[in-house]
Parts: sequence; C-alpha cells; structure tokens
Amino acid sequence: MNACHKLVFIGEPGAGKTTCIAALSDIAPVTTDVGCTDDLARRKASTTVALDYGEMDLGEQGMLRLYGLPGQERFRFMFDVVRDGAMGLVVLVDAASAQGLDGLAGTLATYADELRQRPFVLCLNKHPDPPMAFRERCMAMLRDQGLVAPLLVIDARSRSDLAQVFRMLCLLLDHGDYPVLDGERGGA
Amino acid sequence: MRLACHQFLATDVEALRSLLRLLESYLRNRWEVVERIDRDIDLVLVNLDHPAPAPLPDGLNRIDCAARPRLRHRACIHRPLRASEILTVLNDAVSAEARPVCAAVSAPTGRHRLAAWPLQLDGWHDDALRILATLTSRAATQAEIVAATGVAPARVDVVLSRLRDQGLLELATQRVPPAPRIVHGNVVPGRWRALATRVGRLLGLPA
Amino acid sequence: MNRWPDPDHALQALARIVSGCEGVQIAMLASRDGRPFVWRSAVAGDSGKLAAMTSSLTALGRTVLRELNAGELDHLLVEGQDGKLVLVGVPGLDGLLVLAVLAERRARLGLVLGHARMCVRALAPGA
Repeated sequence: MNACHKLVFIGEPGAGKTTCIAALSDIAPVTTDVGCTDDLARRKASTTVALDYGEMDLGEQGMLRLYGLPGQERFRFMFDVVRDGAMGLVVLVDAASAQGLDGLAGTLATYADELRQRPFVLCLNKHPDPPMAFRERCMAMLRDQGLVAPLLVIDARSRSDLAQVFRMLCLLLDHGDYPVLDGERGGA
Repeated sequence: MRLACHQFLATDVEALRSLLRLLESYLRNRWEVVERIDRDIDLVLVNLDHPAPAPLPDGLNRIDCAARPRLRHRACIHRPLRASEILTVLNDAVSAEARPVCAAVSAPTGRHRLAAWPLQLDGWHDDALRILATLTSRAATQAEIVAATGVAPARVDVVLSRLRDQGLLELATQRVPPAPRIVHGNVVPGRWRALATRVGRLLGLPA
Repeated sequence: MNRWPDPDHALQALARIVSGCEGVQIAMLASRDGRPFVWRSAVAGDSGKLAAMTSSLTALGRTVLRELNAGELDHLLVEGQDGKLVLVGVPGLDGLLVLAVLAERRARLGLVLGHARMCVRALAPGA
C-alpha cells in the first residue's frame, strides 16, 4: 500500500491556511467554512470551524493529505482528530496585519506542546518582505516558548513557495529527532 | 561563505562568479556571491574607482579593488579581478575566520544548542541548513553534527561560529544526553528529501 | 444580517427541554462559528467546548452531506454508551444558531429529538 503523509496547517483566522490547501490540492478542497458572528467578521466574512481538507497525489510515493485547522483556541480539539501520523506542521502568520503577532501568540499558547514534539515551519504570509522587527518578534515568541523553527516568508498562493516550505519540513525530518509517538506514523 | 561586491558593474560581478567556478577546487570553502550586504557577510569587495563612493557599515571584512591598486594601498587588489588575487584573499579570509573558531567553538565535548534560526536564510548554504535542521530538535556536539549531516568538521565549525556570532547558538550548560535517533519506520535515511523532491517537482520547482 | 433571538426567550425555551424531557442534562444554543449563546444545564459542563464541538460537528455534517449529494442537514445524532447528543439548527436564521441537547443513556431518543425540534421551532423568526 502506498504511503500516506499528513501535513497540518495551523494559525490564526485569516493567516492563509485555506489558501495553502487550495493552492496545493489536486481535488477541490473540502471546507467547513461558516459566516463569522463575532469581531472577526470585520476582517473576514467566513471562518473554518472543523477543518479544510485537500490531497496531493504523489504517485509511487503515496498521497499527501492536507489538513487546515480552525485558528481559534476553542477548536483546539480538532488537532486531536487529525494529529495521528502528522509528519509536521506549518504555522502561518498574517504578516500584513497588526493582529498577526497576537495571532501567533495565541497559536503558540494553544499548540506549544504539540510543536515541541513535531517539526514545524513558521511561515510569514501576506507580506512580501516583513520588517526585521516583525521577524525578530516572531522568533522571540518562539524562544519564549522554548521552540526552535525555521522562518520563511511565503505567499500562500504560490505553489513554489509552498514547495520550499515542504522542503524545509523534510530537511527537519531527515536530520532531526522527534518524539513521534508510537502509532502516529500513519502508514508512513 | 558569502561574498558581496560593493559598487561593481554587473559584468564584473558575473566575471567574479565565473572565476569562483573555475577556482572551486582550489578554494578552502565554497563561496557564493550575494547581492545584499549585511552585517553577516563574510567578505565585501569594494570598487574604489566608483565615481560616487557610497559608505559601507563599519566592521565589515573588506577588500579594496581598483584599476590601479598600487596608487591606493598595499592590500588593494586589481579590478578587473584576477584569479590569483581572488584565490589568495578568499583563502586568507577563511584562515583568519577559522582560527578563532577552532579555539572557541570546537570544544570536542561541548554540546551546541540552537536558540533560534536566522531571520533570513539567504546566503546559508545547504550544508548550513542541514546543520540547523540537526540542531533544531536537539543539542549536539560537533562530532554528532558531522555524523548527522556529513558536513566536513571545518565547515561545521564555520557555521557554528557564524551562528554564535549572531547570538543564535548556546553551549548546553548541563550535560544533555543525545536524543535517541528515531528512525521513521522501516524507511531509508534521506527518504524525506526524496519526498520533498517529488513534491517540489509537482509544484513546479526545477529538479 | 444576523437576527439573534431574544436571550430571555431562548433561555425559557431551553429550560423547557431540560425540565420537560426526562434525561436531558444540557441544552445549549451555539453560534455557527462555535460560541455559546445561551445555555441551560442540570450538570456541570464546559459550555465553550461544547459550543465549538457543536459548530464543528454541524459543519462536518453539512460538508459530508454536500460531498455525498445528500441534501440539507436536518439533524445530527451522536450516540455513545452513556449518553447521546442531538444537534438541530434553528430554522429561518441562515444557520446562525444550532441547538445542542445532551441526554443520558436512559433518555428516549424520539422524545429528545421531538423536544429539540419544538424548541428550535419556538425560536424561529415569527414563531
């Protein structure tokens, strides 16, 4: 049976998770978007409340399954639904928004324990060249949580940018040691 | 190692790139010509003949170049660049950098802990990225890094030194046992790279 | 435009389920994006988490039905050894609110579902 690889996208609402999956997926992404009913509605009309799902057929190298999780802390339980077999995570940040840093702080507070166990890449999206002060603040937040990860500036719509993200994640997997739990390899 | 050209013509820069390719087997380190001049650049070639000289940040390791170097100063080299002079200055630059590195970084029992990745990855070669990836999940000695990455010890030292200079590397204060190397299932080492190559090809990256 | 029901009116409707249907432990109205609106409970519980899970389950249910060309979602039932959860949308609000009813194992499913339907009808605009 061909291998199944699982990649999980997390990040604040509006950081670009759905966009990443739409850019990568061979199939029309399965979405669970609903209209926002809180302050978030000022920034975006709808938000994911369960997951986004997409697939990339890798031929003989199996299937890459793509999961995007809701950004709000109250949906943290969805990570438990998709965590088994996850090869790593992509943490997205809206680098063009004043709330981007707050969003990252929230994401790290919610997922720090998971991020310590798995490789992840921090991706600054929506800004072609985020100021160094913004990048430094992001790295400081990681350090405050005892996390270490590469930081990439991406355009979530760009397939080549996402290929670089995937390449970086694979580099971490090839050279790193991660306490992946038994039974979490998802056929990989 | 990163090399930049300050106020050179584009044709001069291209000529330098060609020279580096020709000299590759004679150079002690791999050099790359980059556009951006930042504090972390390893060496800057400066064109003294430019009609409107622009200042450079202090503290950079620089080599002056001019059409008539003897009219300038003893350390000035020729422009257009000559292979023999480039070979000398680049290898000297490495020697000068490597000496303190060996003393400060390569303590055989010291275990290095990565505090953070560099903010920008431009100019960090593949071997440096492998070292960073190794240190992302665990503290490691130089020997462990060499074993995990296949990068030459001298090169590992240079990368560690550069990371330390940027405040990104710490020496583990406690004796940290090496994390057990987890083999992902019954798979061969480097299989993630193969997967990345496959995905990259599907997404339009050149092979 | 979101048309939120009057909270007091909604609370009364929830109270009727909790007190009127044997075995019902929790009745809650959750917004479609997973926030608790009003909540009545005979037991302790985490309203925020239930609201988020209600939203996710409902969205997944709708997505599954859409992928299967199986029409609009009417209700969701999640039944375990020790309890059952019924989710029903409030009609006429464009999916704005979902009623979640958690009941003990002994509660009769037909009665729970019937009370839930009555409740959401009472909360529909113009009821």
